[in-house]
Amino acid sequence: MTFILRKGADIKVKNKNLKILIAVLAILLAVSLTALIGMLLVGHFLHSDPATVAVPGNIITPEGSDASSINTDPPLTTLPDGESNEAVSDTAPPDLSDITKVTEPASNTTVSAATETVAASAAKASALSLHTKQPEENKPFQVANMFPGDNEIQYFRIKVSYKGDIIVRYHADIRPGYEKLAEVLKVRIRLLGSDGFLYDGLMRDMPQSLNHALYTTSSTQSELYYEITAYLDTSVDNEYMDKDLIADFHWWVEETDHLDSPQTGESKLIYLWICLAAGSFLCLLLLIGKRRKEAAEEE
Amino acid sequence: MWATVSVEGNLFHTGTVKINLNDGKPVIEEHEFLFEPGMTVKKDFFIENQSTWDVYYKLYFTDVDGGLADVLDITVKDGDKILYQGLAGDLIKEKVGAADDILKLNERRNLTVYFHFPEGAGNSTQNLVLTFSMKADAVQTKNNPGKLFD
Repeated sequence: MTFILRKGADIKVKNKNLKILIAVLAILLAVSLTALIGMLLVGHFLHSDPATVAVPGNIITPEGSDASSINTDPPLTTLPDGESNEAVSDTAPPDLSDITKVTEPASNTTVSAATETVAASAAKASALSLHTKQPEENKPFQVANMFPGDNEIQYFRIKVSYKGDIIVRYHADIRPGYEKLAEVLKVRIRLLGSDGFLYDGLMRDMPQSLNHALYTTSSTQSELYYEITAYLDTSVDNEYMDKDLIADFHWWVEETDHLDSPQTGESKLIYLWICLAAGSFLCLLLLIGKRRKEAAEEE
Repeated sequence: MWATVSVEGNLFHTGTVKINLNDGKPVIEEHEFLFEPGMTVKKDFFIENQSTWDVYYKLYFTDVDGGLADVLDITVKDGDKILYQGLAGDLIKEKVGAADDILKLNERRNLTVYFHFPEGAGNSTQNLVLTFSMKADAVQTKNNPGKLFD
């Protein structure tokens, strides 16, 4: 009898422990699932929110592939007034410090509302990257049938992770062989959220770099949203009919020491919550199964 | 090495304004007609928009020469609609404006020019000639609400 009574008491204690364990695991599962859903929702709304900028129409978005690319090479350059860039590329890659000596002063802006600071935990693929929030962004211009008075707008969003002083530089390089239309094709470049233009003039006469300075004391991700308008004055005459121009747009940061290495904080958190949820779920299943088995044995 | 991102291959291409005026052929040949008072000569020709956009156009005469320039009444019509009317000397580039309507992309329009010798012309108009070149200017309608040709 005593033995039987003791066994019954043991079973009751065991069952109680099991119940507590199941409850704890259920709570853990609920918490991890809630956290996961929360993170996904926050991520969704954060990334789809256009913030303070709108993407107006009048954008040419080609159906073809995205010609954007990411590399670590310095941009090639086309010097104003028809100067060849051979000397530069022969003597200086990847160091472009010589280039700046022969060009006009760079246009500068200071850190301002133009930068859209992103939560430090946000994921990033690399320290400097093209970041596409809207499908129209970061597509190369594909403008056909331009006439005097036309203007076409394209948007480019640059994400940069940094700590300390950096300067994000931009330049449009006109490819050789397209000098004719370069005589008249103008661009107007501005950072959305900032006042004024980084540049407004002939594309070929653009300073060697259009600079935007950023500074932070802590690891930060910022987005620079460039609005680039290509246009032809109404005074452009017949000699520029049926002409092409191809240009490559480059953004670069020379202060690589101040660029952050890629972080994956958000991804890690997501994986952690996924593991926790999966683990809790599996344990729950096992415990429930065990409990049922024991209950069956008791009967 | 610097950190760089690029968007390559940004393409810009300009459009074209090009028109075909009667394949470059004269609307009236030398010695084709001997004008007499009261006589009207009707000649058909065409203008075709070979541009990459809709255009405004205007027709005008250049190199106008000969005594008949001040005698012959000239009328250019698009169907029943009169586009231009006057003496040859009135139909020069500086004096004519754009046609009222737009020549659409790839549109070919058949026009008619009438040369009328007034009945009241006196003997002083005998043995006169008229030579001229008919020309057409076109300009894109895009960004051009004022129909400006220059």
